[in-house]
Amino acid sequence: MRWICLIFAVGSAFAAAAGAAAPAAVFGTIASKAPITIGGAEMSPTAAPSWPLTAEDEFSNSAPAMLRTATHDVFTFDSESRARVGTVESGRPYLYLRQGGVHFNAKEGLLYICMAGHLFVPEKAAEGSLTLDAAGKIVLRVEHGQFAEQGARSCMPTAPPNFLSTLPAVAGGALAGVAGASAAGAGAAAGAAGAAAGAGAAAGGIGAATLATVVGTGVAAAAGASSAASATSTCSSQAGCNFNPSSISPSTP
Amino acid sequence: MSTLPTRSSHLLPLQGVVLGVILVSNWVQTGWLSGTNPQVLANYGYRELWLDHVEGPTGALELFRQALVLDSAFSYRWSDLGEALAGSGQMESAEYCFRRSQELAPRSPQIAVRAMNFYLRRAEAGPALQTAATVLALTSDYDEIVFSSLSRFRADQEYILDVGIGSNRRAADRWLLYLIGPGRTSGADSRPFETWKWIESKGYATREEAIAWSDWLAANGRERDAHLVWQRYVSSDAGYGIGNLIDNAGFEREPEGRGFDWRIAAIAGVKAGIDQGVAHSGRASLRIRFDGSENVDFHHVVQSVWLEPGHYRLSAWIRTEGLTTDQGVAVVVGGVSTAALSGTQDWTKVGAELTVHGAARIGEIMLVRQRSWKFDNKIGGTAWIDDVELRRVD
Repeated sequence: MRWICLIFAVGSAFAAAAGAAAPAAVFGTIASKAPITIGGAEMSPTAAPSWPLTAEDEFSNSAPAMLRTATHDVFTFDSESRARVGTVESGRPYLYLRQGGVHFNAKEGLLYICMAGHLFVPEKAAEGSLTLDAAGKIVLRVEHGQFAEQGARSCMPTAPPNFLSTLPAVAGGALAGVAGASAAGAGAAAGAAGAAAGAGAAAGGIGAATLATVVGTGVAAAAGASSAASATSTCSSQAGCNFNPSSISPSTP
Repeated sequence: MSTLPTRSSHLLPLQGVVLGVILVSNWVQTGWLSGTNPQVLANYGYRELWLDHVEGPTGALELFRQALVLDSAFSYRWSDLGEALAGSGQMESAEYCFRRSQELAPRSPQIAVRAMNFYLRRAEAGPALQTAATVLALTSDYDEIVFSSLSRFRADQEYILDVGIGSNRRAADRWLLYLIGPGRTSGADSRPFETWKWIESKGYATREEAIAWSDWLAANGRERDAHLVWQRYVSSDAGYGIGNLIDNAGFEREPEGRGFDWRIAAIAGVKAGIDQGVAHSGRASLRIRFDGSENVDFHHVVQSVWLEPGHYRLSAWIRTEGLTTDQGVAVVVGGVSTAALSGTQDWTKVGAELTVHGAARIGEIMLVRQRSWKFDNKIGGTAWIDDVELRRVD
């Protein structure tokens, strides 16, 4: 009799669980002085100073907004930004920026930021900003640290289930020794010299040169360089950021 | 010769000084000058919180703590500290703060919204729904915020209805309208159906709500259900759907302009509307006035009807006054038309029969005046229509 009751109870619990939709995972909390539109609903700061986000929310903000993720990383969005948040298989944050700009602080680990057909993966402790200008070009600025991976990639609003399998190990993926990872390494190496020389052009090859521009300055900045070490480069949404030399101005440090 | 100061001119500066001392003393005590005003501290706290500066002696946490010490009876101070504690991962302490803030201000929707956000953040459905219920009970201003939050966090539908809405009839109505709002749900989503079923079981259904629900059902391919909802909750004609398939058949009330009531569209050269002074039966009829300026192809008074396969008889009463041209006014359904009346005629019954084959479907009954091919084709005059009937006769 006891067994029958137990089976019935387990069965009922299972049935109840199967019937209920799983609650959405919490992505983080966003705050702004002006209303934020989340999932089409306007969230007013007069109602609450911050709003929780799920890992599949889309939002837009009219004033600067700060998003602190559940993983304790921080994104600060420019006014008039529009983005969708999510996570990759490892649980790390994935941000799909449709419009505007974002300052990132990868406090606890890798971040995955996709915008205008480009993926940027800041390493742990990296800080910088990515802005999509009116012409659809990406303006990139690195303050600390470096990118584990960056380049042209088909951006999806949501990271596909096998997203990490296409990335090198250094970017949290499964691929070892591929171009992206080695380029990052080469870029870092070139960056030490390149930053001192004041130009990523010191590194050989188109891809390596453009990558070094960013990574090199990142290394220099991490080493305590002044604001002059910050790099700004632009890349178009059509062509590759790191693989299209015309997208980088020769005068860009 | 020296003059002594008058009593009043001597005392005024002294009084001013004393008053100044009192004010300064008060300001210092309350913190206006010392920078320890709780609201000022809280503002600084938020600035630090938004700069991601939570910990440390000048961090948000400490500033909110100081503000709370200065004004621990103010609910917002507790919520502020709760916000910062949650930001630093001290969830148990944060929960205490949010609970305390609710105790201090149980009728503040803002305090309840903040608590709801905290519980959503912690993925605690029960308390989140309880605080949501508080917000919904206190104000309708935050309906959209609450419903959007519960929807995004995929709160269990049964809990939303039983805990979040409960006996709040207004919230039940708004939740259904939220779910069936543009672009929110499709016919494949079970939540609108569950909500309507729940609303019906509680006896909360209103006519306005039923009209919206019927519209949504029809738009999502559930025409039969839409018709049944209309029949049960919207139609005011006693025999609607049982004997006569036409709602508002005698035009006794202003048409809803949607669903299974008459829809009257505007067209140049014609004015159509209810006439409370002329009727075949009851107190009103539909009047169509042609101003003689157009050769109008009129089919702008329409009603959707639910047609099961079978044989039907259509009838209506029409009266005309000075209706010109060779094309008069008729009633049409499923391609079958009654006789068209023109000229001046007293109330005349017109009729037609039709057979519906195949599957049950939505059809349209309309009042029609066809375009004339004569030289003198611009129609003037007036027609009245009343007591329209469509009855199944097999």
